[in-house]
Amino acid sequence: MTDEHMKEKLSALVDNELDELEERRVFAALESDTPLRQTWQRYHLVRAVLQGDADAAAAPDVSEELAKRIAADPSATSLFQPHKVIRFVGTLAIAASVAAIAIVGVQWLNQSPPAPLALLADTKPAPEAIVRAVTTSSDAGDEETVNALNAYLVEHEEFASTPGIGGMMSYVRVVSSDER
Amino acid sequence: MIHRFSNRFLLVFLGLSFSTLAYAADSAQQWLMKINHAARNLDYDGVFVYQHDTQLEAMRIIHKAVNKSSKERLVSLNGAPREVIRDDREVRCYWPDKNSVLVEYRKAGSSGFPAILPERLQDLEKYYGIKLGKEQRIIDRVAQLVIVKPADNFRYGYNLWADKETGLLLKADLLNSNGKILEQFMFTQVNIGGTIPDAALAPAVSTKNMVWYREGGDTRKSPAKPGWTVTNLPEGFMLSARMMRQMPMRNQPVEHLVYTDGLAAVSIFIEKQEKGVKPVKPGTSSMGAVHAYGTNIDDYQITAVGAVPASTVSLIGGSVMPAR
Repeated sequence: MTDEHMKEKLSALVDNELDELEERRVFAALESDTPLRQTWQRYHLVRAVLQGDADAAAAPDVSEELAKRIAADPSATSLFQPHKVIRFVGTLAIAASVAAIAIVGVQWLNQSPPAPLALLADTKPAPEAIVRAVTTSSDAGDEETVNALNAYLVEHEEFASTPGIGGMMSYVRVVSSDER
Repeated sequence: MIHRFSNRFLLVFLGLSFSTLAYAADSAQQWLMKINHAARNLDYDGVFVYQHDTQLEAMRIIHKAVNKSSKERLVSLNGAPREVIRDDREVRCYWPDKNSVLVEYRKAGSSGFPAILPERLQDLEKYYGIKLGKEQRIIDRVAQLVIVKPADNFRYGYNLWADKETGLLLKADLLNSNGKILEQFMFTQVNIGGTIPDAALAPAVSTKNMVWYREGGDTRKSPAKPGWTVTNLPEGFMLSARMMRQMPMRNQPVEHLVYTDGLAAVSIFIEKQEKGVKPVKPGTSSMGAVHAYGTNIDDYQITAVGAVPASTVSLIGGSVMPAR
């Protein structure tokens, strides 16, 4: 059901029928979901065959298109600097930092690069554009985002059922240290 | 009040069903219940290691069951001695390195600690294969392995090693659907059933000169009408809670929805973009096995968080729509 829905979206994406918002969502899903990416690749292949595009059918270079589109749409890349360690130094301004205080040290890793980069690994022309798009995601908004995420994590833990499995699995991510 | 009472009743009911279970804890499902029961009802004090990403950390957990409720203290043994102390009413985070204490009020009901409910166990089996593994020796105790395997790649699996004698979880792996281990937990030493003095549940850090931050207002109420809904959920995920929260760093209340398949849970937070606060760029990020996905709809910020694969948070977070 869910799969079907996503496949419809994929199909629409291949045919350039999605609006910008939907397109971004599908890209986000594609970045992290290998089976979905394979489906997308198949759709491209099918379309290419249907359109008699023999070259494209022989070697559907989906990764290149993905790279291009991600490069063209910076919002399709992930929000955080890879391996960014969140540290707060000195006395904190109250309003902005309460969330940070709750979970200082919780480390959010950039999730997105592995998918497109892995795709690139087996393609010949490595478009530098995607590399840039992936690594230039740090600006003033990021830290606020990370703070908000951390606060959300504390709120979420209360409802996560994993703690129901065992006490030791609860809140560990909240107390986790940032020593590297 | 009514809420509290019904939860008590539920606990009594659970207590009864567990006492009968205790004599015949043989199926994998019963072991799952036994693990859940042990974590909530035993007194224990132990040190465990937690591995995630490339990190290895040590923590101490002290748990005491008091009159059908629990009090628990978790202390980081690496880096700053941060602590989380929780009971039925609230969660307190002590951050000595930041001179701060954060207090959040619990909303999950008076039983406090999330549970696997027997009535959801059957549903659970639609989305997970649950079977018994071998008996193994873990920290010099006999442990029963319970294997929880996800039926699709929208959720994670678990390998759980439970103490044969008491049911306490001694070791746990969290795995993706390909069987790759994402997080590991293991007691290195644990004392089960010993006396736990109240002092062991008090913070070791001095709270003198610490700044206290408390969650604002009474946010226990549900919103008058649902503002938002999720249109595309992986099979088995159902709405289990909906509330408005007054987050400490926000002026406006945040709508919080929780969806769960009985084992995995995803929280969705919807907040109106405040003036002067920069909108967040959409995308996914991770912390150990936890993933988050952020997106914007009009001037609202949507964030989905949970210990589920990235595809699950992006699917759920990406299909949040204003309720009609």
